Amino acid sequence: MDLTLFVTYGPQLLKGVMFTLYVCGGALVIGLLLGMLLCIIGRSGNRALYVFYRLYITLFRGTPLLVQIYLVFYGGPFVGLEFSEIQVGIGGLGLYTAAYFAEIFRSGFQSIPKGQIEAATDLGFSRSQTFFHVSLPQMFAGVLPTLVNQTILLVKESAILSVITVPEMTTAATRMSTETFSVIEPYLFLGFTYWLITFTLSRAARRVETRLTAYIAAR
Amino acid sequence: MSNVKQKPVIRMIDVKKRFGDNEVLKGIDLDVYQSEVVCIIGGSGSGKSTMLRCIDFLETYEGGEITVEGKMIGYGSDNAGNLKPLPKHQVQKDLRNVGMVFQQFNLWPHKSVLENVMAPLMLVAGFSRAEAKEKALAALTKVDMAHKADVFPGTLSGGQQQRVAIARALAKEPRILLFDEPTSALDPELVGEVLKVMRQLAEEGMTMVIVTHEMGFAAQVSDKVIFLADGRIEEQGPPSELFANPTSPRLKAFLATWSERNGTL
Repeated sequence: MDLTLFVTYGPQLLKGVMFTLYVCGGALVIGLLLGMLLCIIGRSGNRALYVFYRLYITLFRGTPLLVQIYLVFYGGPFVGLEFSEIQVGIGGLGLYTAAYFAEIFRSGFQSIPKGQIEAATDLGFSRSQTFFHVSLPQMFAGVLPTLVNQTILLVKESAILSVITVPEMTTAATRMSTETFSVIEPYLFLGFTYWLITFTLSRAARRVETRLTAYIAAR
Repeated sequence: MSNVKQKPVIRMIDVKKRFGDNEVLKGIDLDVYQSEVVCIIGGSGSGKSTMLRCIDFLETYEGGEITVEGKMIGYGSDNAGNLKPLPKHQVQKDLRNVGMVFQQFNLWPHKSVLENVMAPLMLVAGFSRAEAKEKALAALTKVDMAHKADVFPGTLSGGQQQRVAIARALAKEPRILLFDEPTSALDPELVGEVLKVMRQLAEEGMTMVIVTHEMGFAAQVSDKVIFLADGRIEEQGPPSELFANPTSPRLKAFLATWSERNGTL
């Protein structure tokens, strides 16, 4: 192991790490918001919207992320769609994750007993009050572990964005490898950093989970 | 249990309801007067829960009409005089004096006992946090649950949860309370504490419609007992008559089965 490599490549790697966090953060926000929107659309009871929902899920969950970003980034210009690698990176990862999140949310909402909604209706709650005060908090508490799991996958999937030269940490490590003919140093660093991010994430999530699910633990 | 008979507060006229091919209510007529306690009994599948849920419009009905305090529930006439389903908020407004207590309590498990009772007061009635808290605690005191205000419902026994659910329904100061098998999900030793609260409400003059399997309770508390079979009212009357001298064979059979398991009334 030649640790002096990190003196030269340290700043680039660190930049890559920051970029990975940036891309994943952006994709997470898109995934959560779009996933929730999709889930609401899918559960609205409107037939056409439901078909759209199923189509979206089938499309984004049924094909590899690699294929999706290749198609958009390299195929897009042929049909007049030109996006930067960062737009495709964050957007692609976000849209892809949204499909998974939407299904997770859907299962979470389904697990809430119908009677609780009826009680809210009887007591005069509007649809949005029922959603925000009864359904959403319980749904979120219930699916948090699954949500974190999916987010960990998101962080690891972001490595794929190196194929369209998004300057994230896999791209930085690969460049270090090709320029210095080193393998162990850059990829050990890469593996360790992905682990550190996902580990921190799951630790933080467990804290939130403990708080959100206090009512279940109290039983 | 005053019996000042003016206009009925709940009136069901030839109410019909079907789930697909299955007609669960085949024309129900019922009048409930101010401060009356009406118990609905009958076998499973007889339509008794559906009948109650129609009053609260948790189930829609396809035929006949239900009025509560003079207002038709769920439907209104448009300009041409045709009946049209009313929007949800209008139905809720028309039912604001009606409260419902469910078999499964249906408390919100992520909210504390106090929050369960406070939430509708703040969100629907528009009380401030302080006012809502005061009213909620008063309601909880009434069912003897104020000492558990800060715990989650999941930590309580079934009987305690049902009392909290009653407090939640009471907090909005309804004039009519509907009970859908309020003690059926409870262990036998917990039934009494819930019935005690209900008996107290009846004595205070609350108008109550109760779907129940507790014949003893029905016999003691109700002004009128309705026996439902196959979506029709098979027999009805004051409990003293209905339980002592049932006339229809089906009610006789129903009561005989009940007595076999629970002893005579």
